Amino acid sequence: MKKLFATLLVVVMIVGCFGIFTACSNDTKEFKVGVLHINPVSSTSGYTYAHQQGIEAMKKELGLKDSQVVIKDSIDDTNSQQINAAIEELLAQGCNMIIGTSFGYMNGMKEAALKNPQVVFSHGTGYLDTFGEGEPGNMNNYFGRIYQARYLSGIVAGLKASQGGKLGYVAAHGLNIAECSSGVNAFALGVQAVNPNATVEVKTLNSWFDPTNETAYAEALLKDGCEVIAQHCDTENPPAAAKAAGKFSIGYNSDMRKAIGDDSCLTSVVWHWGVYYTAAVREAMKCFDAEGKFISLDAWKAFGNYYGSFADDLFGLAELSSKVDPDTAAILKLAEGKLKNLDAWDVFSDKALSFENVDGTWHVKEVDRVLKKADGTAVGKVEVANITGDMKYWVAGVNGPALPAENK
Amino acid sequence: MTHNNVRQPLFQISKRTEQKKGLGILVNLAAVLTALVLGGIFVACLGYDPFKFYAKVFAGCFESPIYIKLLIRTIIPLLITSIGLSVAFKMKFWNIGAEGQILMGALSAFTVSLLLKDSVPSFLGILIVLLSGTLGGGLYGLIVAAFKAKFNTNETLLTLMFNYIALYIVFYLLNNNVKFFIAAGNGIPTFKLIDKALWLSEIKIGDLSFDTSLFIAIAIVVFVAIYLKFTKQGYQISVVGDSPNTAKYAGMKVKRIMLRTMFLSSAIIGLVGALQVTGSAASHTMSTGITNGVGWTAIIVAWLAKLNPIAIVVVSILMGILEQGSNVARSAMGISAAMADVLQGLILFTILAFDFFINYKVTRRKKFALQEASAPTTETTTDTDKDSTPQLTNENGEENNEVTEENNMTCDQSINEIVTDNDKEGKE
Repeated sequence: MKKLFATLLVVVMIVGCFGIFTACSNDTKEFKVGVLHINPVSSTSGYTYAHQQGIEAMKKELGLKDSQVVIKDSIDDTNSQQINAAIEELLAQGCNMIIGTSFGYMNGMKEAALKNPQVVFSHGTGYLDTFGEGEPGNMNNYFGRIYQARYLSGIVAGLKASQGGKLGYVAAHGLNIAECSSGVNAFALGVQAVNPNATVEVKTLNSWFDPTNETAYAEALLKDGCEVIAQHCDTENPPAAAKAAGKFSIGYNSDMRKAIGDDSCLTSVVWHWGVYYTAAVREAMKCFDAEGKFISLDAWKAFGNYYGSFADDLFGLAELSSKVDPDTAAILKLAEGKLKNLDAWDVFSDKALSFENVDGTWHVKEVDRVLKKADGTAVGKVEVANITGDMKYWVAGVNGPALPAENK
Repeated sequence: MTHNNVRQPLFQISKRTEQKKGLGILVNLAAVLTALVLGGIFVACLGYDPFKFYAKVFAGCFESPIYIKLLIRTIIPLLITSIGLSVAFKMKFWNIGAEGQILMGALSAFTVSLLLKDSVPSFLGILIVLLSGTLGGGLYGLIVAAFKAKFNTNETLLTLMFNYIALYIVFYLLNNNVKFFIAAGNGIPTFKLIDKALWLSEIKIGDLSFDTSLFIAIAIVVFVAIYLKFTKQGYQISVVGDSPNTAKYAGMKVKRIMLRTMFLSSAIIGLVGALQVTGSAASHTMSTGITNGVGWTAIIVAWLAKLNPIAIVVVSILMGILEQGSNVARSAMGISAAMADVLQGLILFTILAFDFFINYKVTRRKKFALQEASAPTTETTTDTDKDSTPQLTNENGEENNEVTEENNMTCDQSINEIVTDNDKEGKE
């Protein structure tokens, strides 16, 4: 009985604490941005590093103070309790805008967006319709047509590999996720633009972060005779494996050549997230007055979802290493020129780019083609207009894992 | 003890034969203080102000209603899981499978939620979902107990490995896009949300909100406390735990008690999964990280609390404060998450180390000789030459001493031996 009483006492004491502290409130009077990262903010390469660089760039561009940006890092994006707690913590610290950089934060952020209509949410790589009827309206999705940069990296890799050679690609996921499959296909088309008979071998991790298998799969591909290893995963492990095998690699997210300190990494597909974060935070700030008090969502709704392209400078290639083919820079320049105008030409259109060397200078022209799947059938019209688009096939020349039966 | 002619070491470690009242509390307080000081030194070594850090830890739990809410959310699963584990531990059944049982509880609750949707009244629906989670966890634990009863397998290994089976079942459903569980959308597969009718209702006091799982947690603590202390079945658990042979001689059906107890233990733990799915802490959905590592932490909580339900409440709260507080503090001060984990580990380890001094005493050579001469035997001694692990139930000398005498005769006989020759039972 005494112990029961003690238990009750503990409960009463906890409840008592509520009363004391409910009075406290956060009285900071400035616009605050909260950021959720999946990996430690101290990372020096990879996904979180690329995003954090973007946040820093945004801070500088908009002149925000340190106190105006709150970072929660190492938030596991499969652990919904941890995600919710991190979001709540940012809210407790008075954040007016919350940016979530990893896919898995999607549901938690939407739930929080519904509960906190006066806070702006921006979620990277998600696909929810958040502006429709009955939807939060204060949350957007953002991402970019990163496949365009992968096409460019394919050109770099295709020039380096021997004609008709084999290239490897370590992807986070396969055909079930358009972001990944479109990246592989664009890379292969880039390779084939300069190296028509080359093939691309794909291995999928089925995880966004799996350092062990990133190494293991890259090593398997190298053993299989791949000359260049490209990656769609978070760490510098595939380039490191290529370096160890005396082969070449294409990095992703941030400049992997710097991360592994070796020119065997020919270039990297890199994000310039600062472009988006600056634009997004600028718009979000319009929803609040100078003291961080909510006005309206109009500016944010007008801004909407974001799906930037090469023309926006949201991404590109990192500096080329000294080991690339001597023609690379000239050919890339031509391809980049084409990508600058999205309406005129894109990677998956019914025209292929063809590069020709006439009297020592390179020229590009568009030639008709029928884009074919790996099984030989025609692809038809490709719609990668937004992040929800799907691409459940590999293009010809790609050898990758099939879709799981459930998902066909 | 046969060491009369052997040269004795300078320090001798021996099990305490009697407990001074209040010693436990004193040692525990000293442990917490030392742990905090050591943790502070660690923080200082990293180049941060330890006082500011601890202030932040406290503020991160109580400064705003949101933090209190998060603290409660951290404590509830930890508390229920520890209580569930304590039931099995009391029987010396080493259930290391709480992670898997939570996952299985969550998965059953999630499956039933998807089937039910809003077809039944909210209250009934939630009840069914919670029961199915309980059943899911319970049956998953029962498999291990059945293996032990039938083939005398090692429950530590089996429960441990069952964690991974459960985890990879969930991964399988996710990565293979099994339509029944996965939300529509062409992106990366995510689990569906459960119907709103099945969400646990939230209670608001001012700015503070928490869901009904708080009351369920309290009810379970009270239930288990009464069950273990005042019921016949609870008594049986203690007897089987202390000495399976005694239990057998007393006519108890050891196998049946073991199956029943393990079911109860893992059912309580399975309920945690169901509460996570239906509650607001984890977004009303399934996820591979839904356990939040509670299945492991709860083992520490149960041990630190010596399986005493009241102590489990206290330790869970302290552990929750440590976890929630250091999480807020590390972000505020820019300390990495890994360092916060190291700090938590350091503090726990210190407390566990102090625990040693409650059960054992360190004596210097001379003193030891004197003591031995003056007190050769004591009535309640369990001090044998065997290196016996610290006993779970009886070392406090205050509870469950009913069977001590028989216990002394047979305490080194393990539950395993009993189980094997237990088949005769039915024939008698």
